[in-house]
Amino acid sequence: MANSKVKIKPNCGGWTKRNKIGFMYVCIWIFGFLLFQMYPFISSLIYSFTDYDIFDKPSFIGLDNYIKLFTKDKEFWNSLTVTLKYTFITVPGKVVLALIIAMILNRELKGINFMRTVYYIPSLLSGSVAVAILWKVLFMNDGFINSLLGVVHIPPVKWMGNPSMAVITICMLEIWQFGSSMVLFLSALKQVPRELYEAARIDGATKIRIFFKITLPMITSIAFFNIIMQLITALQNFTSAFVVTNGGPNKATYVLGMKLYTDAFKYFKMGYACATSWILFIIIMIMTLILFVTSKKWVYYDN
Amino acid sequence: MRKVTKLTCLLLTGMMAATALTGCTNKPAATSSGAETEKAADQTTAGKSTAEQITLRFMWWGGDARNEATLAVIDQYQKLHPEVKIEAEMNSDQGYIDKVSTMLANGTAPDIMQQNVDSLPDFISRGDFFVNFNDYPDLFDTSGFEKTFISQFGTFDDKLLAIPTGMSCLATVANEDAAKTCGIDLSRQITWESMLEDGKKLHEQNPEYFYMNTDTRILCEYVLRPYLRQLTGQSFIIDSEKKMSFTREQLVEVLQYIKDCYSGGVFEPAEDSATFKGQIQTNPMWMDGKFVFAYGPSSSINLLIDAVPDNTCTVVQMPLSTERVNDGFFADTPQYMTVNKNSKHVEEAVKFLDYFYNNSEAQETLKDVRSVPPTSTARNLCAEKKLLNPVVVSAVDLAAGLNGKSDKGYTTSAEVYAIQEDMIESVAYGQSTPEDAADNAIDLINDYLSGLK
Repeated sequence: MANSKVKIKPNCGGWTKRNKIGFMYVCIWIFGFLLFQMYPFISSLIYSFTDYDIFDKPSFIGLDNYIKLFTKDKEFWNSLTVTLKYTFITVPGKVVLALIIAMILNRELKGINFMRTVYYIPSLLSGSVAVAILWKVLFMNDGFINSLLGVVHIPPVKWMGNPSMAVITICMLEIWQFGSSMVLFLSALKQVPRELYEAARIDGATKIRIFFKITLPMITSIAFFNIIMQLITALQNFTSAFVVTNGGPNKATYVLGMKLYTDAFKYFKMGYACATSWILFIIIMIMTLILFVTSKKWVYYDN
Repeated sequence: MRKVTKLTCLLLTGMMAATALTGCTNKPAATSSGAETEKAADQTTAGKSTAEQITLRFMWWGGDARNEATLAVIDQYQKLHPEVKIEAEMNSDQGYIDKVSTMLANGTAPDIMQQNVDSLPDFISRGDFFVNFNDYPDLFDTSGFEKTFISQFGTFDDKLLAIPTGMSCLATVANEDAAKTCGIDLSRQITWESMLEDGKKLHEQNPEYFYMNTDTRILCEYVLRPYLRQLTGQSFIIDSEKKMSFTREQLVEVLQYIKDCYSGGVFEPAEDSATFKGQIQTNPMWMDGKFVFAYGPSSSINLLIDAVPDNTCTVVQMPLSTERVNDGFFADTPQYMTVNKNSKHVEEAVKFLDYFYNNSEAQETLKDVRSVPPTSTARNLCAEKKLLNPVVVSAVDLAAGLNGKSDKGYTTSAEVYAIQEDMIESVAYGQSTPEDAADNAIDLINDYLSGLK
């Protein structure tokens, strides 16, 4: 009788001993987050409303930086166009290639784990300056790639000298590093129920039909994740444009990341560069939101 | 057991987080071309001292020859002054200016810095960063420098804030063998008109040859600005008045000239030379002797000459218009040396630079790694011992007789330089007409000038 009156309250929060221990585990991360992410995040917002050359103290100028960015700066529109061009080539290219390779590697063959590792390795070098320098050397006019083309009697291509080709060259560097997306697709492919394939085969479905009607819908959630992550990365690209082509030729690869770096550290317009970075942040947020809103129509979740 | 496990987990988590945080070091990353090597790790303070020893940080950029010579001079000084330790910070030229600006802004600049001649005036206009050598007459002897030279290079508002490292100039290197093959007479003075005519004719007759090895950035300093200086007699931007010295028509004229040079085959197509921007000596066509001329500063024309070991090279006078109001070109300095005003050991740093410039052993070691030495004592010593590259000396001698004036200042700030380069690229790639490119550039320059404090 006495026991029936005892109610066991669940641990719903509050400063309990358990929560204190949990907080201790995460407080170091929180400290790092506040210092290295939150502080620059908020500082850049404040600086974006100032005229700040990094040598003197910043002086408040309101929305002048933003107004100038949209009304007077032709370079901003060029950089935005280049960035969007880079993104819309790189993201589909990377995701599609990752899916194709994942499907090829989704078999139980001898040495398949080794092949999966080999294809994954380039993605470990993402953002590497050394790899970008290597890419530059490979794609020089008399580099290895043109030598290979020469073997099959294709005339040499001006990979970095031709403004149209230069952006393709840096896109290829990013697409080459598809390993992380491939690994995610691989795990998604393995989770597609075998019964669906068997049933489709029994019904006489072709491989192409099976792919579009079974495989693709079942992995849309991972595809969605990959697209979001690659979109965010691509819009913020800097290393490949800076190292391989230095924004050229003729500003053909002058992505927004490069523009804001140049404005901040070469032209000493830190406030203006911060405004550019916030515009880039807003663009990323809008594009991500669009993807999330439209995802209801095409992304399938098991639950 | 449970308590030990929790404590262990907490400690491991802390170590992981600490490792991740220490990865976010403020130590500068390697630049894109060439590695940055440091002899010591400490960059967070401008200099430290103990009771026994003073440590100075000395930062410069350069190739192997310059690095070796400078390190040798540091060794010499340290042997003579065991209480002083100098930490050498060698760098590539790429990204150097960005690094210096960041260090000056956040107070981590070394005690002694080599400075780029284009960017130093901009730094000086933005703050009081550098020591005035005139305040240390007992520690730094300026008597070996020509007064006119040092007043033009290194003196800003009557303060000697930087010491020129040498006498240099813009040079036109000629490959004598290629000139002979293409029938170019090197004894004839080049004019802008003859460069265009001879270059077009050369390329028509020898399609695999080009007249001039250059890139779009070099053209800013070697064609665009001198062409205008010869027309106007003034710098691209007149600093005292904060205005452009040229008219729209004059700018269109020079851009049309550059466009004609590209389309006529005087210069290699921009698409092909883009790969070797900043490193034209690595262009395989130059190395194969398919260019008759190449542009380069006298302080590094040895790079161009060394790239064609089987050919004989010389220097010729820069292009001079027959209707010029001013020669446009001038004797210059390749770099400056400065002492950080916030250094904890200003006097020691100044004393080291006095040794660097005025000591005979240092002069003999440094030779011409920074072009012809700036002091008369060094030049005499090096001439006596035949240490100077005769081609470099010829180039500087050619410039010494010209009456152009230095245009360093707003003209050579990063933003204005980029505007110059962009307008050249837009006509070189056929993206704009000279008129459109000129109009766009003038708008941008006016915007820059209106933002000056």
